[in-house]
Amino acid sequence: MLKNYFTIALRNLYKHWVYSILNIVGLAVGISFFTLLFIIIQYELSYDRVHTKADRIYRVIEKIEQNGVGEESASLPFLFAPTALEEFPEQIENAVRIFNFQLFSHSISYNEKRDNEHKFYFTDSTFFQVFDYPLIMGNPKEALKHPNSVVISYEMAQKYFGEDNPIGKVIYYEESIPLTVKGILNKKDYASHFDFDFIASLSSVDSFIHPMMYTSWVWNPCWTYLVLKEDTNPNNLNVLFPLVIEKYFPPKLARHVNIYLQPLTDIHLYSHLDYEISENGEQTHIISFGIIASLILIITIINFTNLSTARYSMRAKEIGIRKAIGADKSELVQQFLVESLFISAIGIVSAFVLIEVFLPYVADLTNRDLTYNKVDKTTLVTSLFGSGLIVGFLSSIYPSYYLSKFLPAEVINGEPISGMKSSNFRSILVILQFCITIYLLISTMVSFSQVEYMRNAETGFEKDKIIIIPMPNTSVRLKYEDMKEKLLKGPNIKSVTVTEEILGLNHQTHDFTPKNKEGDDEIIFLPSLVVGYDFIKTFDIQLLVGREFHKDSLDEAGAVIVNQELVRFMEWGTAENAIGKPLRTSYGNEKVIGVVENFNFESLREEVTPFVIDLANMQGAKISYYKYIAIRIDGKDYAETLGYIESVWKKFIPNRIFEYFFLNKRLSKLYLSELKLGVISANFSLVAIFIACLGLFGLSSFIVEQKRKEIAIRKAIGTTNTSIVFLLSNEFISLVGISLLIAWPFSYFMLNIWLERFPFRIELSYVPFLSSGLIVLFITLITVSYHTIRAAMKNPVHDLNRE
Amino acid sequence: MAEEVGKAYSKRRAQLRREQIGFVFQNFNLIDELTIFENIELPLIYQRVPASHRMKMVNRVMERLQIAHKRNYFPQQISGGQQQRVAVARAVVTKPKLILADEPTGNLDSVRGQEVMEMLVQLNEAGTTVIIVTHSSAAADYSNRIINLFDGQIVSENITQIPRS
Repeated sequence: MLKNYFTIALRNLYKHWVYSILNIVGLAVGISFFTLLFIIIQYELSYDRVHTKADRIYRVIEKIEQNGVGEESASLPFLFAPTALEEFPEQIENAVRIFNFQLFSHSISYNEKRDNEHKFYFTDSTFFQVFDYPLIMGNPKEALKHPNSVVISYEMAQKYFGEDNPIGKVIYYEESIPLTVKGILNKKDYASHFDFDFIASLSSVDSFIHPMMYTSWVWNPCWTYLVLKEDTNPNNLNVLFPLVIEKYFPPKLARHVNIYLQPLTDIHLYSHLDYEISENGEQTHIISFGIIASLILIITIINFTNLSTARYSMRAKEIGIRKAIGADKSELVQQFLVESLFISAIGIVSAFVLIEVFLPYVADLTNRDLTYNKVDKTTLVTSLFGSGLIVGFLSSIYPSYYLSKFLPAEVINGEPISGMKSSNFRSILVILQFCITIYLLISTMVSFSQVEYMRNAETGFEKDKIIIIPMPNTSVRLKYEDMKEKLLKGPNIKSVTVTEEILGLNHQTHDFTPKNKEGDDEIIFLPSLVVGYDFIKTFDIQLLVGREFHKDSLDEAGAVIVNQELVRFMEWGTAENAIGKPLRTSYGNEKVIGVVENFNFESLREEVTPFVIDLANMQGAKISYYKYIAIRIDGKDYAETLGYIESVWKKFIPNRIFEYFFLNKRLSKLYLSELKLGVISANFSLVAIFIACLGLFGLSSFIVEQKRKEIAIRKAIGTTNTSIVFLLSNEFISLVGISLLIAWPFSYFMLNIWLERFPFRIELSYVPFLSSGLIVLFITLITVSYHTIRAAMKNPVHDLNRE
Repeated sequence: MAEEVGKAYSKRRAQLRREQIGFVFQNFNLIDELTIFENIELPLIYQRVPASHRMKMVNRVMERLQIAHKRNYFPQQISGGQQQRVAVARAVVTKPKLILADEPTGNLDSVRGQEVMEMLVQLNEAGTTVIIVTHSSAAADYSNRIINLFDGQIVSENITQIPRS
């Protein structure tokens, strides 16, 4: 029996080869793109699971908050990890800290090779006891045991040492600290929230860190990870942390601090804290991918169903004969199920090829280092076979149902197949398919508009003509004033300032006391930025009242500038009223000298919160805070301007590679994840439209076949070709119309929910709705035109004689 | 068969068609995608006859109807008369008690029509009841019992020979 089924399936595939190709291509494209999304989702969920103790490793989070303002920091003070180990030996098995001076780049040199590296970190010797990052060379137990040791990635080994064995070679950190290479890291085999190229022993930089910083319970620069003992419940440890806070933190700070554990494997998708070690993924994107994947699968099933229906309708006679000679319903259903699964099998094999072809492209779209080798093969095979068989099985249910309704006497005599002639179910399928396509199109357009809006929105400060230069973490920062003077003499340079973080991208949170009296310990942590003179001028921030910092006004230890939101938060009334209000810091009794308009010092995903702009005062503070020079240029002759800036750099810092970037370019990367999501949904919408078109093409041939006699009679009595094309297209036009009526309100509702996440967002306009409708209508008419025009041009004699 | 089938379930009716009835149609109704051999074999497959048996049974019937040399041809590659022979072969291969033939000579010229009728007569002589619906008096003349219908009503009945059973 099976042999008979396969024989006839193969011969039919060959006979109707156009449909066979449509069917197989639709299926292969559908399940391969479904699987690609499935692979991405699985990859995103696999982050940090490479470590054998992954389920016992927790990152420690510090939350400092008062009335909704403060910080939720991914990093902690230096002392936290050793203290926790000492205080809770029953609960904690091991701990490790990771530290990078909160720097943008680090200068690394080996002989004559020198570069600024962005993924450089220092860590405790316990690093490889906590984590199981795979090493290609070197012994993880020994690698970071001694000071001046470093483990580097394979890519960096290639970069600095070429073909030479890197083990034992010495590289220099910031020209001064020698680090011996003790291991080579294989980054290709895992996905981690923490991406590093260099990991060096923390003890190597003891001399770089001020002892006060080491012992501070306020400064929190260390990403801290704990391994809990097998039987420790993290909640039981969370409730013990207040003991540490009370015992060690300064009392005025302790009241506002909360410390808790975050599971390592939750970081990548769920964590969006201040000072994250690297940018994390988005859980909502995973959900979006899941939705798109399911929609692609649904469209594939509908497409396959439509094509199968068309195929079976051409085989009515065979079905009738089989029934006449004694096949019963179940045997026929079985036959067509086998055929569907057979086509599915061909589709599955083709999908393997498509996945290999498209994986690099999709990996690039999602910004993930995802190669075919890295893909979990079980996932791949399960997803492909699973989806392929589901499509094959589900899409044969509908045609099989109608098969059973065939009356052999009718079909053998060439009557049209009664059940299939007018089917609401088929219309519902097509409407569903159109709705999905319309929804994907609208959401793609809206997400692009939102990203464009965020990229181009007025942030309240100049970002287009600003060049940022990261400063090395050395005493060269003390030469900033001289550099500034020299820079201002250059061509096309209008203003120069220095900042602690990149404005618009990052900021810090500093402690302030809003009371004048000494001894009053009411302390609040406010988002703020320590800057140099000319900050307001360089970034062209709108000053509402008061003045910018002046060199001759003792502003360094006595003045701050705040935004409107802070005035509101402090309940100071008007901006004018805020002038002179105290905001004491550990450096002195500072007062508000100016109020600026609210500006977006963070991404437009965040509301504008209270913000303080403060001047660095002491020499020590300048070393800590003078991290980025910001240069405002007039936009003329970039080459000349940059050449001049570089020449100044070389004069002051000859041993370090000159590094710069334009602020607007860096800020536009803020919305990269939304942009990628937009690009992905755009691409997958195209895939969905493509598959839907295949189904429509098959369906239109089916409908034309059904109306063959009607067309012939109409033509015989003199109807024009155009009105026949219109008659046939009409059915599809009304289906598109119904779909729009359903998809428009649905999309409006869903996209409003999505947009609500953004405090700064676009208003939904009619444009994406209308254009999606026109696109779907246009594509539909083009797709079905092949069959409708052919049917209209056909000589009716043939069909009339057939009757 | 002595069984009321009007109210039987479709499964029982399928079983009856499979085991007891063979069909011959005016337009042959062979499956285009199957070879002559496979078309004749099909009812045996539905009867779950083992492959080796099927081969023997199909070969035997093909030889009897003189179409064995066309076994690997597809229906559209042989003449109408030969196609009708294949249809008859398919109808008789399961050795049904009854053959229902709907205008079996309607699409054939007179010589081919005659051949097919002679074949049906032979089958009848071998013990199978054959009921033929036809407009052709020449075809009707082969039968031993003729019922004339007009607008669905029986108008006359003549028994030309004594029925064998």
